[in-house]
Amino acid sequence: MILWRLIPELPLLKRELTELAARRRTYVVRTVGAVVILSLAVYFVGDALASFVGNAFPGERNTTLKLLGAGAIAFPRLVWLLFPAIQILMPSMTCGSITIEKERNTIGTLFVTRLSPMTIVLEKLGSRLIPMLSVLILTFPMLAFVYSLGGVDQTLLKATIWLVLWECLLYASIGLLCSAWYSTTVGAFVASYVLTGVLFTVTVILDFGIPTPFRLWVEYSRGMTMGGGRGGFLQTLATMGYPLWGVFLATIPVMLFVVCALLLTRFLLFRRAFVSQSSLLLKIFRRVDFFFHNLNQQAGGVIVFADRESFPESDPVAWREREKKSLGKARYLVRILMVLELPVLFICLWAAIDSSGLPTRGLSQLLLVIWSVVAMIVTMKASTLLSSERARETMEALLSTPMTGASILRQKIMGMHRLMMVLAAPLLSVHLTLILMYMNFSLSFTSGMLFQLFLLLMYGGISVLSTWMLMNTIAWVSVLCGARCTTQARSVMTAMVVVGSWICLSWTVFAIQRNPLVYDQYSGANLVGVYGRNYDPAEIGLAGRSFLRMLRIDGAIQANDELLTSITSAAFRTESGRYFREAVENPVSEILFSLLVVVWHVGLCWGVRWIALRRSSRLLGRNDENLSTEELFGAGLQTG
Amino acid sequence: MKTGEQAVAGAVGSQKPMAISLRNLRVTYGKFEAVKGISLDIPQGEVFGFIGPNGAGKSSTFRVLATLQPKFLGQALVCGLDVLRQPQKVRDIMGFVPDFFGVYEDLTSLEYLHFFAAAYRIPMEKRKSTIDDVLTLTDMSHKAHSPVDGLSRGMKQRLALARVLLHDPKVLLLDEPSSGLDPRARIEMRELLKALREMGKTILISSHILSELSQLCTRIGIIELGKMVAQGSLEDIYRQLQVMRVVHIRVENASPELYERVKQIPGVHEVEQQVDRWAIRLQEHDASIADLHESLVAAKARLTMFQPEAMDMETAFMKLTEGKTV
Ligand SMILES: Nc1ncnc2c1ncn2[C@@H]1O[C@H](COP(=O)(O)OP(=O)(O)O)[C@@H](O)[C@H]1O
Ligand SMILES: [Mg+2]
Repeated sequence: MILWRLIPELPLLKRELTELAARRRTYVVRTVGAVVILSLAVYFVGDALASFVGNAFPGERNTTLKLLGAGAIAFPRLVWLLFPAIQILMPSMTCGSITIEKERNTIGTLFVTRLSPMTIVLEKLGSRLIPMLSVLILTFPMLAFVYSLGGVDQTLLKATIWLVLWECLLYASIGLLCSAWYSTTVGAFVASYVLTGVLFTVTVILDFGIPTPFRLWVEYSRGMTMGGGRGGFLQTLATMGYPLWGVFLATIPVMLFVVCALLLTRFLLFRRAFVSQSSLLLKIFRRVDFFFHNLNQQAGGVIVFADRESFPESDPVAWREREKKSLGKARYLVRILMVLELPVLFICLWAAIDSSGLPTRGLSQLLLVIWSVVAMIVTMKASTLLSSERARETMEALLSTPMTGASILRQKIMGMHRLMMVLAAPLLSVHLTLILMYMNFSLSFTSGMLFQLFLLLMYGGISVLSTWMLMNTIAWVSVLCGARCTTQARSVMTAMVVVGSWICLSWTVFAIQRNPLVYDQYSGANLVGVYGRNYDPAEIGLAGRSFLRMLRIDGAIQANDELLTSITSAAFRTESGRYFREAVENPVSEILFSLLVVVWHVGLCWGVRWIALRRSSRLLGRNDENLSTEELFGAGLQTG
Repeated sequence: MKTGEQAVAGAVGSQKPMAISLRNLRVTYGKFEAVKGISLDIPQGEVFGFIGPNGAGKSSTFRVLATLQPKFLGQALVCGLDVLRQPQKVRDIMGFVPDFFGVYEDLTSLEYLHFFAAAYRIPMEKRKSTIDDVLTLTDMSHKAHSPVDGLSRGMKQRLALARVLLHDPKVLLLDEPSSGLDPRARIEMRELLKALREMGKTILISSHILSELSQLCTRIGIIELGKMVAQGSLEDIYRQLQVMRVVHIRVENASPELYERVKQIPGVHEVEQQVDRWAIRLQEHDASIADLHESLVAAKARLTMFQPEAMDMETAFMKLTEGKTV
């Protein structure tokens, strides 16, 4: 009891934790997090044990981290998993901690209490750190099991706990910093991920050979997982004979970073407490505009897009999204187009010139990358279409007009079509590059030229169609997810989780498809082949692939991609020394399967749209007359 | 107050249907019952004031009438149209200004009105003149081209009124239109509402400030904790409550005898001697103001001032809601 009294009273921390405990979302997040981490852990440990059994004595080179039992291999791998988990979870847990007070207008009352600013920052930090650690603790059974396998020495254990703790603090402090800077949770959410992502990528790419804060993860895997060999500062320090001191020294930059971030947070806490909620994007654009305007005046140039008053004719909601929103106005879209299109064009050009390897493979991956970005942008926009009206209290006025709920939803999506077209541009330019390249490669030395031309045309047509359909699917899914939420932050998060998991699923499927152990690209054997000996392996391969394509967010595009490879000659396919695609004798089956996948995606889009329109009145929160079939199905083509 | 049967007859009968008719309206949020059985009839052309403290259930009732509440019990008719079954038609003849309303910060006033003109499907050729009309009516013409975001609260409120007037609705639902306005904006708003009353629109208006509605409304309903506590014309309510009116008089020949005589006048409840005047508390249903004046003159009082106090709404309200909020 006496000890208990020694702990200072932490009112804010207490409140935050109570609040978190009262929210259902907390438990959902924890359960999902735990399930994901645990299942991955099982997978990793299993993998590690398998490999340990496989090669009897790995790591002949004896390092300080002795490889005695299997635990020595499994343990670091398991812990290694915690780092990305922290990296993914921590920003989203901390980014709302201060912005939510700003959004609720309670930050002022927080300031007039006797809590010092630094206390506020630290208690906020603590309130997010504790749940994170509680999620991590869920992996303890796994860790204990692995530890019991033996081979994990005390030093490794201590070093690991130390590193994991600082990794948590690192990402928490960045999330907190963003939370102090931004006025909305959505802004802080996006910024914290962009910031951590950029910092991580940059420090990983630019290996300075010194312990930069964001390299902990990489260093851990290098220095400890493989039992050495590949260097890195943890390894170097460990071999110097002071493993724990080495780990401590290596975390000094992290500590400095965290302290700086917290001090900066404290500095910004007051200064950015009452900033206006206007869109950051719009602000940036205005700056840029101002710059261009000045430039124009000096150069005596012409103004291409001027802001004028304009009036809607029939679809006011679509009109407003199109003409008045930053992501709808032509002049801003042109800029987004440039930002997205230029790097893509550059890569395409590079791929086209570089004829040494198999550039198409890189381009297909590029498609998935672009897709992930595009899907995120569409999700952000679509999920806030309705909640932004709710947040600004403009919803009721809109709903009391005689427009039907279905019409409001349709107009909202229609207003996004310009943005979608802009986002489609980089995707379609990759497709165009592919078409041009295949024309170059294959048309010259095959006989059925007309058929191939037909396939190329078909490829082009399907590319456009499926890109459009997928974007609309994502938009409708996001509307469905975000419609009932009252705050923008929540609707973005909900939709992001749904679309994000879809993207993750796509990447997993992608990895499966690339993994020769699981799925052999060119014989269709292994998993599929083993269970279906009686069937033609190629056909089964095709069927299995089509099924996997159906799961992927960009599946229709990928399935369509197969059309192209189906017409390449065998000579091209073996060029790099090994097959990377299945040799298809019969392009007709490819056509059929890719059509099947495309039809599935079109159906998916229409299905989601149909559900959204059917539920429109409930999504919007008012009562409507029953929709006519015409309303549900008619006028559908224009909105996809 | 009308009985239920009469009201139903009014709503169903061959004559003009009631502009607004509520039958035993109940609105629940989860387990919490916000509106507990309100019945209400408002004939066309009437201005009905809905008074109640915060959280009484005013906005919930408005949301039902504005077709924005999908789930409720009871019946709600607007001009004989069922809110649940014909919401589209109801929206065509009704204009709703919600209690909290935001405006699109990215539009100018003119664009804002054009937006809603399109939403109300006003024919293209009529739009410009209609919008000019409502801008003039609400005295917003000079702000037509300024961004909505920069308008003062009073102007935003007027713009919201302009918005609901676009499609010339028969029924206006105004939820606390003058909350948060400064006195000048408040008076301007009241004048505007009077103009609308002259135009023959049925208006249902709510407020938690009583004196605000007393000059405007033909009838008043007082709602508390989801129940209608009193309903009727101002006089009805006073009579119901036996609220006394205060008349201030100043007499040249003030004397104890006169004081005694004044106290004897029928209907006078109490006479309070103040520094420069006498405050007479009058039971109005016993004697009217005019009666009092006559009696005073008959009692040989030489009046230099005769000033009936404006109806004491606050007292009425306090009296009505006494002890009921707990
Ligand atoms: N959407 C809602 N969900 C839950 N409770 C609500 C909701 N809207 C209103 N309430 C509750 O219903 C009661 C009546 O609210 P309201 O009709 O807005 O009152 P008023 O407009 O008279 O101030 C309040 O106690 C309020 O808390
Ligand atoms: Mg209200």
